[in-house]
Amino acid sequence: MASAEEYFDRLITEELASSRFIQMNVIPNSKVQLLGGRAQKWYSLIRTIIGVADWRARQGTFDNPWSSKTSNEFAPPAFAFTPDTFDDIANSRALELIEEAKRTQRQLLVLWSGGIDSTFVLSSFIKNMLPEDRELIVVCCNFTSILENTNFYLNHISNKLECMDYQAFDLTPELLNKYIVIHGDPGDCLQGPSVPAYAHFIADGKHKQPWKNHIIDLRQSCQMHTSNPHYAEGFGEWFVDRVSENLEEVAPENVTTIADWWWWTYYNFKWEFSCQRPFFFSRRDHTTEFTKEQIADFARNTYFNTADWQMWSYTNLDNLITTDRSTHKHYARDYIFELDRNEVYYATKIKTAGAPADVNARLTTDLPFYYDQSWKGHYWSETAVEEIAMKLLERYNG
Amino acid sequence: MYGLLSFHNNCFVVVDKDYKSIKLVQHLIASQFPATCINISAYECRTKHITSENCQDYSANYQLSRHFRLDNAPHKIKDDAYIDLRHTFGLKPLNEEQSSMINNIKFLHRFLKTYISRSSLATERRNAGLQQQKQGIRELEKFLLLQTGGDEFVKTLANNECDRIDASIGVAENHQRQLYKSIINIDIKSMGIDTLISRLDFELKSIQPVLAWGLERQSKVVSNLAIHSLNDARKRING
Repeated sequence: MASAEEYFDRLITEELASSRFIQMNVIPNSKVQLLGGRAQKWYSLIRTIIGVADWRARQGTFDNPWSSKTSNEFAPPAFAFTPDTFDDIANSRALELIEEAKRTQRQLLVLWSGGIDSTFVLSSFIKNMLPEDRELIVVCCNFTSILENTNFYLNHISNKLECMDYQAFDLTPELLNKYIVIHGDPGDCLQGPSVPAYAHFIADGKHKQPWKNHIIDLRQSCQMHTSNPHYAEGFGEWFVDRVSENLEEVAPENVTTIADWWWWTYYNFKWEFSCQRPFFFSRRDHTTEFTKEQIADFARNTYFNTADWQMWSYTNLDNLITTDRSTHKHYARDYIFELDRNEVYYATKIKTAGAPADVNARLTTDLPFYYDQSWKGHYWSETAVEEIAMKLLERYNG
Repeated sequence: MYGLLSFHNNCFVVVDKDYKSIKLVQHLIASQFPATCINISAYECRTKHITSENCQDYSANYQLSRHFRLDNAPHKIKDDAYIDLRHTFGLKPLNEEQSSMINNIKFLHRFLKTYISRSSLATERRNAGLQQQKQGIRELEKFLLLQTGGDEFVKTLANNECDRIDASIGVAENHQRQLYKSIINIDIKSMGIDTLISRLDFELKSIQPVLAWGLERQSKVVSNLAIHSLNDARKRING
């Protein structure tokens, strides 16, 4: 008969391996510093590199301390080129989701932050729906959303669409029975990365050059300064080499430049996290459980989580980032401009973090350490979680 | 300079330039150790300045200024009177229990003074920012209502956001209220300084955070601030 220690060891190790989401943020920095080595590098990856809380490879190898795998709902399509345009895919996706809402007798709850991704998503519904279908849309926003894009609110939302205060939004199983939740993630993955570590390559005009010629530059750009509280010696080299090995293992033929290399970090590792962000950021009770059907339904109806979008992104890699960061997401800008004719927004909108991505909210230590298969949160303080997590981290040799 | 004067012993328990913290300590310990809050703006019988370290020796002779504050006084004392407690009433020696209580009171004062000053500064800055936010929301609301001909959702959104801000303004005050309530219930005469520190630490960690949507983090900040103040006070007495 197994001892209590063995029982918890097996239970938690298995749960971590099948977890949907693990966030290192809740582990005190001092504990990881003591472990050093790979554990410290993994910690730095989560805390510093591109603002993720979870990191797992959809394709190829990138070992993580928990042996957690990607979920089937987020498996990528085979690499293939598509002739479909951005507008074609947007229009057809909007129509598909409108039909899904009618079929399941739910409303489409669009999380609108006023930023480019969510404004683009909302625009696609506005452009494609019939006047009588307007009741299907509920726009969830706050004052910051309106401030971000006042003209859009005045011209396309106010007195036209039903609205919900973002403060009242709480992702629960009941809410998913009533609404199809629509959000603008992972727009960054599809339309090109915008991380600071990559900015100077654009400024230097090197981002279109082969990534294999700039491995040292890439390593240096990813290495945080010693003054960074999450500094880990040799992190840049370790991170860049692991991603590059993964890329060479999967070998997508169109991924060749530095810009593509960064696209890959988003597309292959951050995708699953981005698609499911509301489960993490927008719940008041992190211990509620969702059914398999609800989780699958959420993934299926995530606006960008389709083979068409992913193939479009892969096909258009060369055109995602041009020579200037200000044209970031230019496909979506064009699409929105066609609807609202707002030249100021088109030309001057820059990337900012919206309410759900509030970094302060993300860093609170009251969040669970991991979420199991049913999205139930489990806390660092629960029996044996800390011991087993630290043991796995110590053994990590990725 | 203000001081807490123990009339039972005719000595100052603690003195400080900060009136608020002295007054707060006086209230919190009133039921266990009655003391009078006095404004000592007069000269003392010795040439040295009175400090928290030597205040017990300065119990003998001082002048009460025009603006002196003397409450709960067991004796009727006129303004501008010269009082020589040592000569009039005699300096009563402290017994062991009183001596330990005075140590505890001194520590309590040191901790509360740091906590109040940090908390007030943080609250003041935060509240000023929040008031500006509210003003901005109301201005935007006016603009939007004008543009939309009275969009009801804009009104709801503005009211909700302002309510959230108002709730957030009360977080620090709520924490303080709970802390003071706990301190009143600590029996300071029956414990040494180390036990008092552990007890205060326990009480601080037991204060329930405000769990309203969006306020947990601010609640945590206030709580951390109090715990840091306690640690700083502990380090100072040890150092």
